[in-house]
Amino acid sequence: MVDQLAEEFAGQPVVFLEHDVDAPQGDRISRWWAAWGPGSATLPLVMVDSGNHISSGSVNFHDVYSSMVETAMTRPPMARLTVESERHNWMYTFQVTIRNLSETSLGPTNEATLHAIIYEEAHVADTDRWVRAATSTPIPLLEPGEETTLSMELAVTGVQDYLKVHSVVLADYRPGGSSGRYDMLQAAHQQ
Amino acid sequence: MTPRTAIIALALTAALPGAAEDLYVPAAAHSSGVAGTEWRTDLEVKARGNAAAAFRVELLAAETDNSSPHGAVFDVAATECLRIEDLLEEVFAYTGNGALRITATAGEVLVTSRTYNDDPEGTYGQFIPALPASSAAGPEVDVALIQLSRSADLETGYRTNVGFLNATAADLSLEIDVLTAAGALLGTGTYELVPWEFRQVNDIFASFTTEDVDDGYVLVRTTTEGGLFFAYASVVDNRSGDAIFIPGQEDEPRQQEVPRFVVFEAFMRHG
Repeated sequence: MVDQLAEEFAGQPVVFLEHDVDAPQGDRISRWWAAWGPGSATLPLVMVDSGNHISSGSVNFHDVYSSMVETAMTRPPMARLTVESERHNWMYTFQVTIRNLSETSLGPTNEATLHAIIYEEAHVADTDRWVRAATSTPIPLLEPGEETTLSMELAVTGVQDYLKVHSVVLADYRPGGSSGRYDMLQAAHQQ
Repeated sequence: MTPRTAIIALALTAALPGAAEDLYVPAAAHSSGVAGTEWRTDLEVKARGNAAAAFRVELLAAETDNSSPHGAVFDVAATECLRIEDLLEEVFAYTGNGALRITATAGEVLVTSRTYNDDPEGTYGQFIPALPASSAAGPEVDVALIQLSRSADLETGYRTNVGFLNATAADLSLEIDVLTAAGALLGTGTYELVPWEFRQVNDIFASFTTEDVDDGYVLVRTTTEGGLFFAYASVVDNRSGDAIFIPGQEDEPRQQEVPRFVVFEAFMRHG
C-alpha cells in the first residue's frame, strides 16, 4: 500500500519511508508515541508531520493514509531549510540552515529538533523505501525570523546500492512544550 | 466647506485624464465602521505657486465600474487653500467608501486629505496623501503593505483593512500574499476589479487565520498585462478607533516559499 501511495503521489512534495519498529533509527518513533500516549498499539504505526497526524493498526489504508498526506500538504511551512550534504564512504554530513518562519520561539523549551534520515530504495521488508539510519540534534533558541546553521553526522551501514540512497532532513517541535504531540516545521529531501 | 470658492458643476463626467497628471486619494469615506466608528474625509487643495487653479474631483465609488464617475469642479484662488469637509457627503451625497481622482483643469494643485473617526469626544484621523497617477504599480513589482496587526478579539489590539484601486480603464486581476513578520505565508488571495474600481477588504487577516497576528504584512501584485493599481492599508486601534494609513511601497517580487514537504513514516515489523 505504501509503495502504491508513493506512485500515486509521485512528483509531489512527499516522501514515504519505512522504519523497522523493532530497531527504529534515531528518535523518530518517539514522535509517534508522543501523539499516541501510554498503552499498547497495533502495527503498523504511521505518522505524518512528526506525529501531528497518526494512525495505528488496520484501517482503510489507502483512504486514511492519502487523507493524512493531503491534509499535511495544505499546511504552510513553518521553517525554511537549506541543506548541504556530503558522503565520505559510509559517513554522511549535513550542514543545515534553518530559518524560523513560525510565530513561535523555537528551542529547548519546546524540544525543537533537527533530524536527518537516510533511506535506501531497497525492498528490505514490506516496502521499497527502507530507513537505514537517522540522527537528530537540538535546535538552539531561534526567535521568529531568525536563522541558524547546524551540523549533523551520520554513519550508514548495510547499504546495498549507494546510488539508491537518499536523505531527508526535517525540523520539528513540540507545540505544547514538554508534553503532547510533535509537529513538523518543514522537511527537505535530497535525491 | 470652509473656506472655499464655488462649486461650478456637479455632474456625471467622463474619466478624461487631463494634461496635468491626475492625483489619486486612494481612500475616502462617509461611512459607519466597527465599534461605532463614523468615518469622514476632508480634502484640502492649494493652488500651486502664485496662480489660481481649478480642479475636478471625481468619486471612484466602492465595488463598481467607475468609468463614468460623478465629479465636481472647484476653483482655488491664488495663494489660497480650499478645504472640503466631509467631501463624500457634502459634494456627492454618497454613503460608503471610495477613492478620489483630482484633475487640475487650470493651473496645478497640491492635495492632501484626512479621513477620521468623527467621535463627538474628539476625532481620530489618518492622513492620506494624494498620489500621482505615475506612481501606480504595474505588473513588474510587488506592493508591500507593512506594519500590520490583527487581534482576534475585536475589543483589543488592532484590525487591518486593506484597499485597492484599479488605476486603469480595463479589468484588473490582483493577487495578494498575507504573511507574518517572520515571513510565514498565511495565505493568498485574488481579486478581480472592474475599471477604476475601488475595493476595501476589512480585517484582511481574518480571511487567512483565526489567530492574532502581532506583526504582519501583505504583498499585492497584478497579473494583468498593462495593469496599474494603488494599494494601501489602514490599521485601526480596536479600542479607540484611531487609525493609521499605510501607503503601499514598491518591493521586489517575493521569492516563493518552498511548499511544505511531507514525510510519511510507517513503523512496521521486519520479517
